[in-house]
Amino acid sequence: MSLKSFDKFLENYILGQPNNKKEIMDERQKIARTHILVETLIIFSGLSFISNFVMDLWYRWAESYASPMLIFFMLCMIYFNIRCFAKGCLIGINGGKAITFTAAYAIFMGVMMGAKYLIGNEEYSSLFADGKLTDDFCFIAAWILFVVYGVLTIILAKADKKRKGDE
Amino acid sequence: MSLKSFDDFCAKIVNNDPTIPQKDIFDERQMVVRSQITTRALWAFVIMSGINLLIMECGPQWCDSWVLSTAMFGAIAYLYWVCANARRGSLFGVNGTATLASQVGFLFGDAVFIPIVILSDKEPDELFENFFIRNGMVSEYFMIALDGAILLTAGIVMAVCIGNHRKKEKAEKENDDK
Repeated sequence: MSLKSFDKFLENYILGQPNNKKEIMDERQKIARTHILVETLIIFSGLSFISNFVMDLWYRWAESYASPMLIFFMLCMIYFNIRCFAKGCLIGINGGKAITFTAAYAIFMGVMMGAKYLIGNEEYSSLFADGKLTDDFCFIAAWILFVVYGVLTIILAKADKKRKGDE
Repeated sequence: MSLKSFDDFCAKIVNNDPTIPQKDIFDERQMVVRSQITTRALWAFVIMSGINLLIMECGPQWCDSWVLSTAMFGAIAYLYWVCANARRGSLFGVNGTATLASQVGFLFGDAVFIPIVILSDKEPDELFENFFIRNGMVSEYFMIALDGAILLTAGIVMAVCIGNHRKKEKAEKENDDK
């Protein structure tokens, strides 16, 4: 969110120049998105800190410390999109093209990387080893979540457009 | 930042309510500034801790403890949040200094007592011998002390800001009385 646009918005009000409804809705949408972004980042920070804490002091549940972060990151991205949809600010103020592109890119990357990982990795062995999730498991789960994120984004964007069209 | 208060604010603007007090406008602006700084601080923490985990995993493990190195980046991000808010004049939020004063108390408590409690049950010889480096890595004792020092710095910055703010408020009150 840009503070400059918010200041302009306030300036218009103070000088008695009316903001049109679109400007007000745009500012509201920016603030709602920032609000949800803060929530998402707090959840991601909390999850990664708790994961490190548990693995360091109690039980090492994954083979490496870094790979579970990919899963947390993807879960947080999915959470962000769902919350944005619920608050009516998924598409942003620039229309639906950007989000459709992001979703298509996520699906393409997820499928390509997942396929390359599964087909090209000859040493790929097991998903669990010594009571821990292996890196292979974390990477595959993250790529699957990436595809889920892309598909979900397209569905939510269409539903959001339809909802706005009905209104 | 509460979206509810911003919605109320927007509703007043849409209804052409000419009586929005200046305080409300400044409060909303302050909330926006704070949320912007919070977002930056959280991004900084996420990126720093992510890069740190990658370095420790793929490169040299520079620190004895994974969780304390992450905590250090959390403390740095928090210090940034405090300093950026102090610089932009949005440290106190819209509720005044009372909440922040209790936060300063907690910070001082955490910064002083947690390192003392954790480090006090170690043998002095072992503690001082391996205080900075242990097994070729930065030791967890040093990281605890460093995290405590960063939190203490944040607490001091907050305490100074509260002191200045209260002095300013007092001076303004005296001017009004005159």
